[in-house]
Amino acid sequence: MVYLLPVFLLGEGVLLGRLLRLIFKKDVRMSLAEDCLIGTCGMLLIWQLFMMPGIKCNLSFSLLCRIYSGVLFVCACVSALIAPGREVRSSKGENNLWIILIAALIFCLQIAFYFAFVPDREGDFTLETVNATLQSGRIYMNHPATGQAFVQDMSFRGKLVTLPLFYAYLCRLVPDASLQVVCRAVPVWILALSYMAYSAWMDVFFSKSDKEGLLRGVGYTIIGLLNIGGSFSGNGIFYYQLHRGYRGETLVYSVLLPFFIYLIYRACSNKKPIWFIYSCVVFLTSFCVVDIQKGAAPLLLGFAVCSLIAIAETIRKKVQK
Amino acid sequence: MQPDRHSGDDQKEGAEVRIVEEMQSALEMIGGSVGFAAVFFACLIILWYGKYERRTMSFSYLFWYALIMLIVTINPLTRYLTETYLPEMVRDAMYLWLLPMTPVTLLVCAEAVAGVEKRWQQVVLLIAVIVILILGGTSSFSDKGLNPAETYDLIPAQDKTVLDLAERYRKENGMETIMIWGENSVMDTARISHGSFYTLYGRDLWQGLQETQIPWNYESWQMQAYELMQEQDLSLDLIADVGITHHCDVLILSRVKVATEGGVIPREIREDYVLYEEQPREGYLLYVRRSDR
Repeated sequence: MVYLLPVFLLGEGVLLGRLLRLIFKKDVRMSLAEDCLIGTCGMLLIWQLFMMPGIKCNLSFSLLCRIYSGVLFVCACVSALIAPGREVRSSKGENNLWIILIAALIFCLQIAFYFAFVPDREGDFTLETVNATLQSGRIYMNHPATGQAFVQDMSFRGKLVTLPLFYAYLCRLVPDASLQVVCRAVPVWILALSYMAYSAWMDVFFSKSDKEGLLRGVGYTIIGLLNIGGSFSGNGIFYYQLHRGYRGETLVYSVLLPFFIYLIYRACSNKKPIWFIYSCVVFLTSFCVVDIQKGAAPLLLGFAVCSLIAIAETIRKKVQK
Repeated sequence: MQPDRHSGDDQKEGAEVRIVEEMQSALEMIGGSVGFAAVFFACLIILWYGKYERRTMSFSYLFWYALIMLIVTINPLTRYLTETYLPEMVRDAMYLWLLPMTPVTLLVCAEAVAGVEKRWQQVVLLIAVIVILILGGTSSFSDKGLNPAETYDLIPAQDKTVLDLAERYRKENGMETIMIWGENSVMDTARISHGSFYTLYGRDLWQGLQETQIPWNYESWQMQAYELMQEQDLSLDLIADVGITHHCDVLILSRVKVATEGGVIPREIREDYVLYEEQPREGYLLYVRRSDR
């Protein structure tokens, strides 16, 4: 059951993404990956919105989880019933089964990493926070390292650890499996989201090519190879992807940042307001999953560079005219 | 008195050397390894040529984004500003993660493989790319991450065995939580294996971790308890004294440290703790508090 969690999270992300698309603008065409990514951001933002009053009013964690589950269920039902579907794209070009199999094998190798190796937990208290929250039923009333009640009450900002509390919510769905949820299910989920973020980039690069299938297959293979190859060093985003996949900075640098840059590119090239709105959603999500220095700051830097390129492109076009 | 010009020159030269060294180390750590840094630069150069051949907006956009981001991340001014205002990004050289290594590499490699016509050539080229990327990743090999899992639960087998015993003891006595005190490894795995296990202190004590969201000052008795447990020859009477005072339900002690010279295992510690079950051969001993203590 615990290993169905990534499927549940991705499916919920797709449904929520379709609903958000309906709210903002239903006639824009978006891929499954884009729906899933924006829906996932929506899921985390809604969780953050629940956490803040929940911590302030000292509500029980189980009550918050029940309300949140209800909201997700309602959103999923509404999306399934009324949100527009999508046309099925037929693959063009020759048979590329061989490259798809290679890419799938490398994806499975990465999943095997999560089972074969103990994750790097240096400086991390995610698992302890999850277990302390589940045991006490309260948010940050017990110290994660010892499980005992805090002598001094923590500040509101100190208690607002959205991602570990979200993992604690997931652990309530699959009891007595917190280790498997945090160290296996969540990294698989984030790995799949990372593939989706780069899939959006591949839509831009390869969608007009005759060899789109082959190009995409090689692209997915390269993503996996970079993760596996990079896991041998002691740091770097690829090391984090395979050995610290549950961390917020992994989510930021392997999912949110590439998706954000992609959305900014779309906004600059299409100039439709929905891309700006989606960019804002992703940017706000970066505040939820990790602190500002590791979350919002990289996205702001990326935005600054993209803006510079857009301004230079505008000037170049004006000069050419 | 004339100012010492040589010391000023030395300082300036020292600062220049430091800047150059920092830029060199940054260049070597793109992607986390020297090999990946070389792959990134090679792909960037290929992208430069591909930009003119393809003349598509996406190629151009990615190239300029990667180039500007490279200039931003490796220059000394950014390093200074990051260290001053964004110190968290300096940890594990996180500012280098801004570089779009993945999209640049996948675009160049995908176009290269798809650029050859025959299937066997595509396969050979793909194999070459696989070898280059794996070798590139291992160029800065560190054994930090290769920690094979001994059990399905990702907990060391020895710790898992004794913690299963502790869990059994908890359930037999209908206790909602139990307080554990013992070896560092067991204390660490106790907290991640089950929320019902409380510990006398956490691993932030012996790992010296600084977690900004968990302000915790251990009291002096906890520091003393920690020091007591690190000794090679355990003082069982003192341990029992501390355990009873601070309501420890379970003591998990290393067999090697507890056994006498003749290899005899004490069945009880003072009259406070009694041996629950011992593991065969090497391992841990689990002592539980007497019900009347």
